[in-house]
Amino acid sequence: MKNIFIYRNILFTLSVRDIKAKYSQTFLGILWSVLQPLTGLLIFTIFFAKLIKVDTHGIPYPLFAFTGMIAWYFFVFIVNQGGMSLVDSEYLLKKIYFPRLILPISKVLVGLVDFGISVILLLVIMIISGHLPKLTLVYFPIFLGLTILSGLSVAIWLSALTIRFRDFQHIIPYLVNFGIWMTPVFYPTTLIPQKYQFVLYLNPMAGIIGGFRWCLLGDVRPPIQYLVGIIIMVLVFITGLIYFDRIEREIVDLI
Amino acid sequence: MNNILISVRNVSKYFHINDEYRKNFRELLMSYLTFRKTKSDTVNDHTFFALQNVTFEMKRGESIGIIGRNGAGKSTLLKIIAGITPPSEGTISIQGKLASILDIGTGFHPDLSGRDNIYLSASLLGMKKREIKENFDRIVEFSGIPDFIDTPVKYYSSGMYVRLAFAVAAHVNADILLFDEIISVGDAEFKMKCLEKINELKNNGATILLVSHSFNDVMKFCDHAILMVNGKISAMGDPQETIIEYVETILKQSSEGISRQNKTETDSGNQISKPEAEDTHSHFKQWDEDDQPPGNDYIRIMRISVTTKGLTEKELITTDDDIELEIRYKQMMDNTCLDIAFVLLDESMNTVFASSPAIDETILSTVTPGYYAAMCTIPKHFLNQGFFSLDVVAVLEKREIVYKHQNLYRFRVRISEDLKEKSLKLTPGPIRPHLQWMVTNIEQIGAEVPTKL
Repeated sequence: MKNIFIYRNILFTLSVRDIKAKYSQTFLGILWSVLQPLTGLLIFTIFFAKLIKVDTHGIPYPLFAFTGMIAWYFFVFIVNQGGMSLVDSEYLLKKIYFPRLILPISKVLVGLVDFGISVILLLVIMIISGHLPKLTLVYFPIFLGLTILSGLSVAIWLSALTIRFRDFQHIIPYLVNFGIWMTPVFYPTTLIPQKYQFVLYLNPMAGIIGGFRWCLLGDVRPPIQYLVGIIIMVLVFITGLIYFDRIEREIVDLI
Repeated sequence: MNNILISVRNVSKYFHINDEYRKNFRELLMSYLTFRKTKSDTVNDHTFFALQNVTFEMKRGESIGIIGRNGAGKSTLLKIIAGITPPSEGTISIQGKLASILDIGTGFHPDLSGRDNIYLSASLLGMKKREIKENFDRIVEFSGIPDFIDTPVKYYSSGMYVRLAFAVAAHVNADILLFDEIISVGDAEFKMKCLEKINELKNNGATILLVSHSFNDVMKFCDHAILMVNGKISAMGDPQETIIEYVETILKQSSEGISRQNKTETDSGNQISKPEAEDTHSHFKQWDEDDQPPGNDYIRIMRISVTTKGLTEKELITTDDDIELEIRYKQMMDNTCLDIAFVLLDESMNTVFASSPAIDETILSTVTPGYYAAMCTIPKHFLNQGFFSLDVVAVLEKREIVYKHQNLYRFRVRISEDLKEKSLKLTPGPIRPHLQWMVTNIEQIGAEVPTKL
């Protein structure tokens, strides 16, 4: 951890590289960060709000879904990019030394840019539609922090495991595809029958998305049972760090 | 102040061939969960040693060149010193800031501009943003491609790419610089520039450890050389002597190979079964008529010898000997005006000089078919110690090269005992001619010097 601070220069450099590379030579540039979630939102609004008509406790469906999507896609970005970060940077790993944990962490900073743009977009839509944010907005950083921690927990494990077993590379897309339906991104938790709700409690992102909706949109506060998911997440994070630390020195020999 | 910047002690690095992959998932999981070493984590039959008991030190401002064949462990050693990969055994201690330049364009991203890549690469090599800013103009100037600095590097030619990449590497500020075989790129002019820059770094007190296949570079830049053979340090010391030792090991290993390449394939098995004895040196090479001697429709080389008067198989030519060179050949065609010639090369395969009887007008070119012997003497005190090889060439009508055999014969010249005692043994370069020198005291700097004392 102390090492990461010493090498923070490399952390920022790698993040800036990714951000710049992502939008270099694209005609629309950073606009893509806005277009992508908006088109997704449009499709889901048509399906869930117009065709299926889910109940979102009086919150306009586009706002409801968009909040979920912002948090979920940020989480997925960290898992996806972070999980593949070591394998993708094989070349760098073999040529210079830096704390390897910097690679998955740098993806958080990269994802944060898109996340920030989306949040601003959300706030703009809220203000335009007259749904002004409430004082609970001050809790926003807590849920942002929890999202990062959840993403990193999974990413650290995956990045380390992918080095050893390339199988995990193929597992990531499954995880992401199943995850979105196991998490109340497009639907409210109330859609799940009471007796199956404990499944959601195990999923930290379920509580976190609920939390975002609460602090941004004034949705009902997620019940205390969601702490179970958070505790699980913290355990995954700590064990992930331990595992990563164990294999860190050998990564280059294994890759 | 501690003057030893790098200290490598008993460092070994081994890998388990296949073994890692033979462990199944459950076994691995258990060994991780229980933090216990499994059988294959220790040395066993499947262990491959990339490095074995390597020990050396580097003082501040020193520069060492590592030479050796591919796979001898040179790069592994650099990676261990750089901290990229851990040693299996032994310790390494580093004092000061270290930059490892193991490749051209570390971290370069093809989609980013030259400018962005300078910042990217330099900071990955350990420079602070402020340092990069200060050096930015110098880096761009050094690269010589200021017009393309805002173009994505993927549109660069490979030459431009290398220039930019090296420009960054050359401006890295560190106490210790590790270079892995990166100087030998780019065009001649740029290479010269790079070498100057490395010299400058060295003069500014940088400690440089470089892996190189270029003997010239090692001799020019390094105070010491380390020869690695199969993961061990096989020799360490003066660059020239270490290089000679290296070439000798190569020759020993490939001496059969060289004579074999002139034979037909069916003969090769025969060759292997009679290897040369350890300490004898044959001073000639000869081909039988039915051995398919090297040559073509114009000429066949039958025998080549490089020796000196009274030289036995136990001895080597020294710098004090007149070297007698003889090429016997068979001229194949009638009415063709042939001249034999040779090109002498040093151990880095640089041409030292070429010679032919054709320069002497009193010697007639051979015209009729038959056997001929061409002889000449390379005077003593002319060649320096080292390994030399000969290309043999046949010239038609003094104009056209009709046959050329590269690397037909190799020989070694050893330092004479006399010079060794005078401790004049270390002179760089492939030749060390005795020139007529005169040193005289003069009254003032503009004074006339008598032409003869």
